[in-house]
Amino acid sequence: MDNLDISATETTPEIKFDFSNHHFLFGGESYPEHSDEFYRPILESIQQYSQNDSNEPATFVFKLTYFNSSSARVLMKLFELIDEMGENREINIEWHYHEEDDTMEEFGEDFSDDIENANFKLMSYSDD
Amino acid sequence: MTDLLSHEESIIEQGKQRVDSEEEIEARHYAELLKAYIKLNKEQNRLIRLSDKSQKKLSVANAKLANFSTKLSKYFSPEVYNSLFTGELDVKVQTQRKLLTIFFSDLEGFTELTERLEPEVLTELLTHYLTEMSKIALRWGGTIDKYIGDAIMIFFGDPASKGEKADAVNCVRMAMEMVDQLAEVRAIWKDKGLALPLNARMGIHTGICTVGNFGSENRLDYTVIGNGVNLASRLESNAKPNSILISEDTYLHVRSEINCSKNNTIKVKGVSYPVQTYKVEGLMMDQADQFGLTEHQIPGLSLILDQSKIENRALVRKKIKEVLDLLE
Repeated sequence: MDNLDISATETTPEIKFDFSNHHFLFGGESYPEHSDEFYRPILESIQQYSQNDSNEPATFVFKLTYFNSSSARVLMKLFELIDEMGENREINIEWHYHEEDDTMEEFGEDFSDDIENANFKLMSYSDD
Repeated sequence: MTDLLSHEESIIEQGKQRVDSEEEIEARHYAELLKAYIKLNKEQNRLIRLSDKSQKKLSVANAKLANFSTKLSKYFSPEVYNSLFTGELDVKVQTQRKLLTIFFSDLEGFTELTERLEPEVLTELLTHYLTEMSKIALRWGGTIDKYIGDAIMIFFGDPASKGEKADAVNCVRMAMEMVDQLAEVRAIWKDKGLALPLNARMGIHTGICTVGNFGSENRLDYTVIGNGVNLASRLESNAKPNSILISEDTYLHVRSEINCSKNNTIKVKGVSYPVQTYKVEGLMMDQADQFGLTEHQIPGLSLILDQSKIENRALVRKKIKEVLDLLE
């Protein structure tokens, strides 16, 4: 699969999918005008990736600083998909949040509750 | 490929079809619906929490912004501040030539005051004086350009203009009210023990100036420059204490409403001809009537009645009666 590399805009996050290295990154702010339109090809590419036969461990990195309700809905779908993948292979999820951003920390904790088949790591970072 | 984002819709659709078919709903169907319902309920709660949190953050950010803009507004003339916030005024080096009426005022003997007064008292005095004068300027629609110590520079005609004549008249009316108000400020400070009287000189000129954002890309100053500014400043320095000296250009705009007396001519650097000056005497009588103003100056009596400022008419009548009783 061709790698996916979408630069961040004012309202959409940076998306970097390195399929050959099984590394997936979501970073920045997410409040697109049409979340479904923006995320549909992204979710589809992950769904397609999930259907290959590889057993290599995969890592999903989330370094989001803000997301709106419709992006949250997409994220929940995404976690569902990732968790399903974890039934057959090792999946690591990294949820990065700024040390002073308790909203992002709480959402990380919240999302981790739904994860049964993947390793969910909450990781704080500072400005340094 | 299943559309992940319409998964719920497909479950609802399947449920509807089962209900419509009137077939017996099996436990596994019910379990499937229940599972979807539990998931939706969880999602809904999560989204509500996200929405509440975002709203709270927004309220905090709004409050911070409001607080910041209130602080920021004190550094700008409200006219400029409003133009900036409505987007009418671009934040870039940009100027234009415009006919403006420029006002300058200065306190007589302020240097001596700064030497005599403690800094705290001087700060209090200056704040009181500038606050009172600024209130009047804003009421008349002036753009406060800057304070330079005790000096005030105000212009009329930009960013908002009521027309060249109205701008000039409003500027002179503002200056007249400032002279009146200064008498009250002077009395307050005399009671506080200030030995030197507070007297202001004021100068006004109407002319073409360059107005706008001057400076660099990093630091802008919304101001006005040109010979007209120098001329207004010269008129101010030539004015007698507590009087307003205007140029002929201003006089021609205000003469139908403001009573002025012809004064001397002055020479101004950068202006090749002698500038005819006029001293502001007061409102024309019909204007005074319109604004409810009555003024009488005779030996032993100084009377100014400004009906537009009366807050308690009964109290005014009582005071006048007390004065009349004194004359009985």
